[in-house]
Amino acid sequence: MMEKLGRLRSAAVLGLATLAAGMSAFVVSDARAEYPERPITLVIAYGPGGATDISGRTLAVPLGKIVPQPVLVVNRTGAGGATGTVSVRDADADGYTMMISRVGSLTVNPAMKATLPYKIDEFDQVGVYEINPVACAVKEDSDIKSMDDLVAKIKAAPKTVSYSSSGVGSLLHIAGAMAVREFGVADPVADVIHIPLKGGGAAATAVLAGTATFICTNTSALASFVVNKQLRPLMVTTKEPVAGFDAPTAADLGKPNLHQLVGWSGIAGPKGLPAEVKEKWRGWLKAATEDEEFLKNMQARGSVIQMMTPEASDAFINNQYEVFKKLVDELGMRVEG
Amino acid sequence: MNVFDNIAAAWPLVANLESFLALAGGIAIGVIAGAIPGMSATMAVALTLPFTFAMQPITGILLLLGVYKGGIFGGSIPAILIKTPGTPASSATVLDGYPMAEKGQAGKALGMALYASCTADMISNLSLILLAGWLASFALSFGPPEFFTLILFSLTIIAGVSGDSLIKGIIAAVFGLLLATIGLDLVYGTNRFTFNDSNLMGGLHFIVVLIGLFAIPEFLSYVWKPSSDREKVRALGEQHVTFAEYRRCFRTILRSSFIGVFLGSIPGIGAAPSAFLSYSEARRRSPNKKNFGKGEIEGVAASEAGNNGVAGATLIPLLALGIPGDIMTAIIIGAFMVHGLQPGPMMFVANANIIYALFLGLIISSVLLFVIGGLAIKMFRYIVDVPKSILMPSVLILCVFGVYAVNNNLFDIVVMFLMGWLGYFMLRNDIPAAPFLIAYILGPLLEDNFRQAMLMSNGASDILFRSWITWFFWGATFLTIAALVRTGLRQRSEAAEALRATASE
Amino acid sequence: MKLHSKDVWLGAGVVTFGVFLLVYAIPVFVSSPSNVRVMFLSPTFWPIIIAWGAIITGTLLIVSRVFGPTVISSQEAEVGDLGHDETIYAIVRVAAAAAIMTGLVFAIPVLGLVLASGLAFALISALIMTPRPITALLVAIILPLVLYAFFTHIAGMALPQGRYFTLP
Repeated sequence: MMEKLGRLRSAAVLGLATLAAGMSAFVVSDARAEYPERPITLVIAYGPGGATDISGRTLAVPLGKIVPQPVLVVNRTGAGGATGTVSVRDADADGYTMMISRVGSLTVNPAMKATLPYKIDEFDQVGVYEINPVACAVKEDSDIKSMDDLVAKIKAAPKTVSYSSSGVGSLLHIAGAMAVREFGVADPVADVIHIPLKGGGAAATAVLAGTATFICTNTSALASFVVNKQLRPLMVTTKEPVAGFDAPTAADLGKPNLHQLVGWSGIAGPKGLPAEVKEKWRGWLKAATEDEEFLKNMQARGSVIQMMTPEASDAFINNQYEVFKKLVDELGMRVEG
Repeated sequence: MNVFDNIAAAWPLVANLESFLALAGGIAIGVIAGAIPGMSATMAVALTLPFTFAMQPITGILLLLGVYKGGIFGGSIPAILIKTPGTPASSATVLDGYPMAEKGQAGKALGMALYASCTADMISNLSLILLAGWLASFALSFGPPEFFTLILFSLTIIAGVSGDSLIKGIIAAVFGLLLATIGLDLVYGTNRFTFNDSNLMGGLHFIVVLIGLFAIPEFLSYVWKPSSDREKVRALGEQHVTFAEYRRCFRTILRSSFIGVFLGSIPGIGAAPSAFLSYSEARRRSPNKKNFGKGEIEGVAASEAGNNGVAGATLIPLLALGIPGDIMTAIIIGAFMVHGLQPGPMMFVANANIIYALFLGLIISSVLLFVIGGLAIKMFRYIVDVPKSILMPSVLILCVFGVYAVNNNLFDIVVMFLMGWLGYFMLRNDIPAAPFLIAYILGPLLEDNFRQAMLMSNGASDILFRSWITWFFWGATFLTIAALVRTGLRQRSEAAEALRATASE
Repeated sequence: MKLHSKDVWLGAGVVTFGVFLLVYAIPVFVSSPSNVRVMFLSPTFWPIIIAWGAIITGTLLIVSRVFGPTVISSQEAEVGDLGHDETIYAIVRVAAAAAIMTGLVFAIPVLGLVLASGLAFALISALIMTPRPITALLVAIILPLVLYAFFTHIAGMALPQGRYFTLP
């Protein structure tokens, strides 16, 4: 019996050695070759079908045509984007592991969570390419017609008005608190109930079903409800009006601070990306965002495609981070445990 | 325009080669992806989405729907043949499908899975077309308190899948609930049993737990005792399902389909609980109750009808209200929006031709599923011919690849192996795995909805009795538990009686 | 009777685990913020209920097995049932399987998923003393390559490549 086993083992080992030798024929080992010499992994820290996923996969279509090597889109989901983001931070900064950076994982989460296993400055930004305007909305048959109505209602009866979000540390979480605070609610954490749900779709549904009073989220998540007259937008946070949203802008209402409250997506990699990699990626990203098909698909979903320089991206992200962090500190929204 | 005008206007949109190819291709992709453990139907749909951007709206959406439906059915193939559910939705199919394959009835089990799937699919589509408006408004009356009571009631299905010992079933469920608490807290975002590890913060992925719990223990059992069936090739299931068997199961299929339609139209529940609920309901009502879990064809029919019944119905909240109820519909809403369409009530007015084209396409998809699924069965059935000494290590490798693909994370392979050892321990101690899994699916839903309800009411518990729906499910829960206790006591006294009888002899 | 005492031990283990959760694991590993207003909403609320569930069901299992009538449980048919020597071999085999699984996890980042899983397949085939060594070897080579081709080139996913070479 042992004899048979031994024979088998040696046969197996021999076979595997052949296998390994055969496979090493495929080895690409020209060290001087130009980046990229093998496929690039693009990590999306959120699940399939979410706003980040659709944005990243839509971007991957033109990137696939531009980048000389395949771009493999990979979802690594969990913990509000933390799982995937950490995996990119820990990857080699060689440009073969990049990620779609997103408002939730890169500014809101770091601003809110004390025990988050990564920091915002552990990443190199290639550039922000997409801005998502944010709108606040209530149910169409609600007696709340404006932000002032909403705030008046909160002040008249604290702890009866609620807003829904896609979870602790999401853009929606901070957006609801920030919006009503700008309009005069001193302590939104105590006076307004935050109802976290699993995912953006569930959050919008909660307002529709009457579980929550209002929601502040990306206009793309609200567009179909607004068209169908199920939800009524109260305001949009951008300077310019958003098509299809019959509501005043934050500029109209005299709240310029709220312009910071927008969603965005960009490309980032681990800290210490070689200059060559960053340069290449910038070129690819620029070309991809000029792709007509891409523009059409993204704009149909209500995104504003806006390619920022690395400096502008850094400034924009850090500024948003500081605004959120200040708000979190003032309101005591920080998650400690 | 009346319905017939709409259908007439929609017909040319569907009756072209492109649409048929999209549907057929989508179903084929879905069946294959679903048959690969680790690749769920939703993942396959997400991967297909970018390819639809360049297509006509209706072609693209039909392609996605085809992938989804094919995926839900495809999951049953490995569930039956290698005890590895291809998608979460087919985990209930394992319970009777795999024992049937072991008995050499793989062909029968697969055939019944296909018949039940297609029947349920058709019922689901018809419900979507006829009852969408009504079911959608009903679904909207489900807030956290209603969900909480519905899920509490659904937990009673643990009794139906516990096998011989209800207590052991409940113990398994308790541990399933416990495992599901790993991750970030919903309300406060704080850590629970994460040990500050970013992988654990995301919780353990459901598909990973599922594969670990079902497939790996089977592999380990084989390693424990490989000699027994070394040369035994499981007889190729030449047996086909007969019409008589289909007729015998028809009531079950019908009931399970409607359970699927009901749960599918409520956003956020999904196909796996529906399959388990259908299974448990079928077992409760069947004269062959004892045979469930040991290779009862009715069990396969129930779970497959239960999960495919969801497929058409998930579109109800999407089309009638514009609500993306689950990941699947969220992806489809993306496909609509890329083409400038806004799903919701207005779409029935503004783009009625597209809606009706979709309806027609869905009906055709049920038929195509039957044809393509039948072909797939013919191909995959030969897996049962593979001797176990080759099959078992292959299953292990397949699971390693598939689980890696779930989240592109090595950590998931570790979790799968650990769950496999847990599952093996449970197998050796006659602790059933199904209650563990059900609790793992339903536990977070139960907790989240409870806490959301408490947030809504500032901690007042009367919100859990706020509507007739909550009263209905409270009542159903208590009735079910009462019936269980009564049956349990009766069995106990009968056993005692039997014991006394043998003792006095 | 053997099955009975096994269940009693099982019940005792479950109760012990429940107590361990209550007194140690939940206070230490579940962080609860200080500003929790409602007891129902505390992150520890559900874990505590679950711990009590474990204690109660474990106790019930012990009670039902010690005091209850002898319920004829399913026989230990499918697992176990080996002679003494064979049992020892079986334990060795299962332990070796554990070692292979552990080794596989550590080998994947180094050798890549394809080579590591091919090796694992070969080792497992040796472990179970496969009656079909040639087929097993062929499958060990072909199966990982086919799966690799499917996941990388059809599904467009990135599988770990390992340090030594890169597959196309």
